[in-house]
Amino acid sequence: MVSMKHLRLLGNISAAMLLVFAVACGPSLTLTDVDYAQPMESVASPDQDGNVQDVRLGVSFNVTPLNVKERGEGASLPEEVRFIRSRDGYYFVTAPGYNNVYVFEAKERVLDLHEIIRVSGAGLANPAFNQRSPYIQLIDGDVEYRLTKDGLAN
Amino acid sequence: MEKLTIKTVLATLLVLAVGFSGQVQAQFQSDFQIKQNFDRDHAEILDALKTVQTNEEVNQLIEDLNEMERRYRDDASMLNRVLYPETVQNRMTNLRELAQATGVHISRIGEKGDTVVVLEERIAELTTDATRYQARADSLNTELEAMRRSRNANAAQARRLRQELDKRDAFIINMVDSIFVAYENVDLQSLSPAERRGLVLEIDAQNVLGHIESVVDNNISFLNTHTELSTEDFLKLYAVQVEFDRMWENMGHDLAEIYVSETRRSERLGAIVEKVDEWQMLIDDAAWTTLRDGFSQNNIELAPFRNSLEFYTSLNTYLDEAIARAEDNGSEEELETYQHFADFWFSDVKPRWQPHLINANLMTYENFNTIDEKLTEWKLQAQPTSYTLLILLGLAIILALVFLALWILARGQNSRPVERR
Repeated sequence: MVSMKHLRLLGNISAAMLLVFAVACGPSLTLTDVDYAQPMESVASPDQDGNVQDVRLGVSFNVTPLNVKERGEGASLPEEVRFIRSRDGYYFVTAPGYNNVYVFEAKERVLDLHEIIRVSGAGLANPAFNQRSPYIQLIDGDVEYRLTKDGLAN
Repeated sequence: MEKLTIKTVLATLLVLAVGFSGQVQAQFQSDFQIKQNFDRDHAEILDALKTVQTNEEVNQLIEDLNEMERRYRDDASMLNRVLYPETVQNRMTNLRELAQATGVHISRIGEKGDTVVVLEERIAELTTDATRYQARADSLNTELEAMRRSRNANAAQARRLRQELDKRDAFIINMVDSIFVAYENVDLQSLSPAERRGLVLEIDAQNVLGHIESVVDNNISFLNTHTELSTEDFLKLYAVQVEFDRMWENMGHDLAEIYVSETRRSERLGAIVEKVDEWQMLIDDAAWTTLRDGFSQNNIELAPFRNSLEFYTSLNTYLDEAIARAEDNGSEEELETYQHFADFWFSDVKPRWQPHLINANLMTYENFNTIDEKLTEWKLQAQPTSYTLLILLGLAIILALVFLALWILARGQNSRPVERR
């Protein structure tokens, strides 16, 4: 005899299966060939809290943790921060005096560090990013670096 | 040959070195910096266009524009993306059109430049005069007020005061006239807003409409105070009013457009028009009354008149009736009446009133000629009939009859047949 308890269990299992089925069949759409490339780098001065923003692009974030990583705790913020977004959506960030370019992956309300690319031993003097898809070009005076999200390009 | 080869090699190396360094420089330019440079160059040309003075400078700017366009040609694609929704081409075209428009504007200013300079000089001159006249007008108004309170004011005093006011009125009308004429000569549209504002402010400082209104006020005040002036004085005042009216009709609205804000314009114009009408009514009344009195005092009773047409009709009727009367009965008495009128006409009316009547558009030269012709006709018809003439005429007729009778008699004798013996 099938007891009431068994019937309730059966009902619950059926409901769970229906839910799984519904989720599996939910809206699914992927747009391809997305180009996130920012045509020109943004140059922004951090405010006293370390926030930088590009009003035109509507992007803002806090560079304090980045500065701590680059220069150590208690170091002063750079006068300007330069950043650019590559075609595949990664943000490349650096500043004068930095030795590294930080590559971030954009996620929901966070920039997740993807890679640190070491480009200088004595600190960049006057760095500037250019969009040169598929690369990001970093120039510093007469020196040029071609960057990808994973490091220096060959 | 060897030297030449070394030189050539060195020169080639130099060119290559320069070219290479240039290439390096060019290769590693920051897009951000290029955009900054482009914005700076654009702003510099735009600023230069705002202050450019000559066509040579405009041409130089157009050259700079061409050079700028060449300089950024390779970066146009990148710049177009960051300038979106504008483009490099779009910005350059705008600058070029602005430069060309500025060139046209400068050419026009050049053509009108002399007039503007004259206008500015005239305004400066008028500014000094206007201040002086304003001070004088204030004291005259005080005198007017005093005279209004005191009934002892005599005609001589009034006339002196009037002469002073006349000078000021003439000055104001001339001032407004010359400003307006100058404005007519200047194509205001060809002036920049700043230039136009400058001119308007310059003249506005003199409160053009305020001066105009004060002319009307003073005349109303004067006419209300003085009725003892001569016909000639009133006719002069009439001519001033007509001249003022002409000026006001021509430019009142235009001046208000320039000097009065749109919100106050209609009210301000209405107030002045009301005063001008009052002035017109007062002078009209005074002038025709004094003209009627002028004829009456000389025992010339014209039919009543209250305007120029009625006045002219009245004069014509008077003369037509006189001519008709003289035709019927020329006499010493008629001749005397004629002489009386002619004396008044040729001694008073024509030398003293005619110019003002014509200036005030109350009568024309043709009107006066017509009256003169009628006076001649009246004089001829007014001559008394001569008895001597009648006797002579009678004698002539009798003599003619005698000669006729003699001729008939002689003819009868000649035609009688000769008798044969």
